[in-house]
Amino acid sequence: MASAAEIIYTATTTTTTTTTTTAVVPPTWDLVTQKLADNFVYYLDGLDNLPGGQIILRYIKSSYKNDPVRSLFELALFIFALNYFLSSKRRENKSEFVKFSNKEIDELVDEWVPEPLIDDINPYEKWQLDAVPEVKGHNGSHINIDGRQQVINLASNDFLNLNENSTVKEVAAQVINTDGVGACGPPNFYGTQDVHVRLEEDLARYLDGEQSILYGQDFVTAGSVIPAFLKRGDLCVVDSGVNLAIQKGLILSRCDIEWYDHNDMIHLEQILSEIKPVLDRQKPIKRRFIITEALFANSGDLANLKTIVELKNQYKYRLFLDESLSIGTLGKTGKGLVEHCNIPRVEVSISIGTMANSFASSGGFCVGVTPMIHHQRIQSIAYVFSASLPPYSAKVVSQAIKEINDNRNAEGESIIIKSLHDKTSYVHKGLSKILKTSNYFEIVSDINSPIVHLSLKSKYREQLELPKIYGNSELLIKGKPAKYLNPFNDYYNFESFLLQKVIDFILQNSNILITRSKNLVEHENLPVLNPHLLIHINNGVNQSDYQKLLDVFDLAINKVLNPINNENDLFELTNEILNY
Amino acid sequence: MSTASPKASYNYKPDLLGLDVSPKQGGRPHSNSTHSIGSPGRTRSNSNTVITPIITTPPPPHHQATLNTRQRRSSSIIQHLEPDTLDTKIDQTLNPNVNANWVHSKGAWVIHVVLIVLLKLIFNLVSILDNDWRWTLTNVVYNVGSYIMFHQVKGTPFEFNSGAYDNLTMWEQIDNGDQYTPTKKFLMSVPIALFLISTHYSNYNLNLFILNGICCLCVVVPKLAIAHRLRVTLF
Repeated sequence: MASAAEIIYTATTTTTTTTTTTAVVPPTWDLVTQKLADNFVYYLDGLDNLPGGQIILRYIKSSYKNDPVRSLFELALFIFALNYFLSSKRRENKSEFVKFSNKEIDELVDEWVPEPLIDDINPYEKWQLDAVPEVKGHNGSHINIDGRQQVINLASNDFLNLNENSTVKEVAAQVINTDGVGACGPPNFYGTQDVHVRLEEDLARYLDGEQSILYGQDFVTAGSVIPAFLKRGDLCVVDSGVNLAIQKGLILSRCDIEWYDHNDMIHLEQILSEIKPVLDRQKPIKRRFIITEALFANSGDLANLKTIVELKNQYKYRLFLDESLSIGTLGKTGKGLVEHCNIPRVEVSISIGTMANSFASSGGFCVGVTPMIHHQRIQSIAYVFSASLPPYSAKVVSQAIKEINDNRNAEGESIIIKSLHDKTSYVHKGLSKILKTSNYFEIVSDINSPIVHLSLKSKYREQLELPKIYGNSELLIKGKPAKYLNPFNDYYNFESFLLQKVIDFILQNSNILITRSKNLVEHENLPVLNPHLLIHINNGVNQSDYQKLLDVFDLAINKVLNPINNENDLFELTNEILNY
Repeated sequence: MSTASPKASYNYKPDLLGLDVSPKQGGRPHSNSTHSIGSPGRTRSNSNTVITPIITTPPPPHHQATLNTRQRRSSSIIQHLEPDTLDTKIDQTLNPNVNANWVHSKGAWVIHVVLIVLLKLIFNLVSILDNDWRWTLTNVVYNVGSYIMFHQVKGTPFEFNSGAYDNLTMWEQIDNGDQYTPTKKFLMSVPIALFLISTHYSNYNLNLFILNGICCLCVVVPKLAIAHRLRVTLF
């Protein structure tokens, strides 16, 4: 083929030279080209005899516009197309495929031993299962657990004790009588009933948002809302103390994550200003969010919302706020951290929350501006594919909002919220008085938090040679979850067990149930704080009962922790753990 | 993919657990025992590489943002896209790529011919153009259209792969990047054939010929195997 191109070229040169042959004696080169041209024309004529050759001949003649370069270009293009057409298929990801022979496959299949669906319980962890109290009968502020009557329940997230509110119960029974117990489908099909629409309106009005959307389950709310807005290449700057639901949502969304130290506004600003030049060059502009929790479930402190809002406006980010624990507990009328900090709700693009805590029901919700909510109705996985909230749960929340919002005192505060605040500060003050001189415990949660977090003092923890922090920080540093699960940690186990002993002592001596933070350290992706003792303030419990707790608390911690003075004492507990 | 049994990754031997119960002086008796490394099934991946225990160190306070290093832009004009990470590849295979798969159907092949014929017929109706310009416009419009569709627009309009195709043009998405597949051969031959046919039926002057030729090359070159995942940034 290449020679044919040459021949065309020579054939054309001859046409120009033949006109001059009469004047000049043809040199040998011209003679050669003449010869070649004659041969070429002869062969071209030969094409005439082949089937279809005439068409090719006609094409060559008509497209040859007395310009050899054009013909050459066309021929080259044609040859290239032919060459491309005849090339065989080439796989791009070839290196990733491993070819096995049938024999190898059989061997692999024979060797394969399936892992057990459920692992045997590690004897060192078995006590954790046994320590879970079993509530017999009704759940509320006073419960019956294995053989104990009327235990004061300070381990429930139902802070306002609306579970035991008679109107709320009445409303629930009424809706069950008329609508049954299930919603019969995802919201976009048959799952939306009048009570759901009313509740969405109620929530939006109560929380001063434009619109709201309901989710059937609260844990999936973050995991569904975050991926609905963020995807690969988008950016979010996240507090490193956020709860597990948000962490899972972030990993699911595949967005780029920048972590700032927990509640450290200087670090947040440092990160924002560091990545600003990169973002300024970005085309097209990607979505970017600052993500934080209002009242942190892991540590019990409040986000510094005022500074965060200033920073997000300065650097042009959107704010995603998880108000799961703060709605119904913070602010004059329980509207959450936003009301507590006197910041308008519009500053927060997306707020999510749960109806399983203060609203005494189940499910989650998201409040925001109209386009944000509208987007979720077709893009949020849990909304589109999961069953809708049962109608009675929805109605209960509507009623709960009424109970919180409608009964107000002269200063415009919700009566029920005010009472919770009083009890919270009473317990907080009482405990800090007791713990001022204690060697063992300190309060780490915010004074407004309805869950009082008590941690072992760092000096005492050093004495026991407990590590500063558990888990791993791979996700924090590399932006990707660690490949392997964390190893089982003896120290976390021992520390949790010490707390459990305090809980058991208090339960036995004063009939009060408190709890501790429970984390599966093995599965955590972020560093895990040391376990905390948790006291959930409950509105249904009298001040005198809280006094009972305060009375026994000092005795309990001294009794349990006095014998434990160094690391060896910790390991002495092993037998006790095995025989719990 | 290794042939060893997944059982080999078990570090958990219940009979060994009893050994470390008694406290030992100077120490952390449990921290070196086998079970502290990992319990059964406690690896996140199927591979059974040796598990190195992660030593818990608190992250350095005020660590730097990682985005700076992750998205450093090269200063050269021509650069290759970085190869896809495993996560991206997994996302790409999770769902069929509806953005690129339709080009394999018969109708998608025929529509190219139909569109070209229609274009030519429409330009034939414009009486102020002579034949050369009609062919040139047909050629140019088809090539510009196919350039925008196959080589200009990146990503997919659908949200099925979590943005795993966001950096790839449609041509690079077709057949998952494989080269010399039947569809790619057909799509490559259309602009070339159109160019050759148009030069045959018209009487281009040199300028029009160059215009048509360059226009044709603009859609042929990005389709070449060497242009796969190549990016030219002029400004």
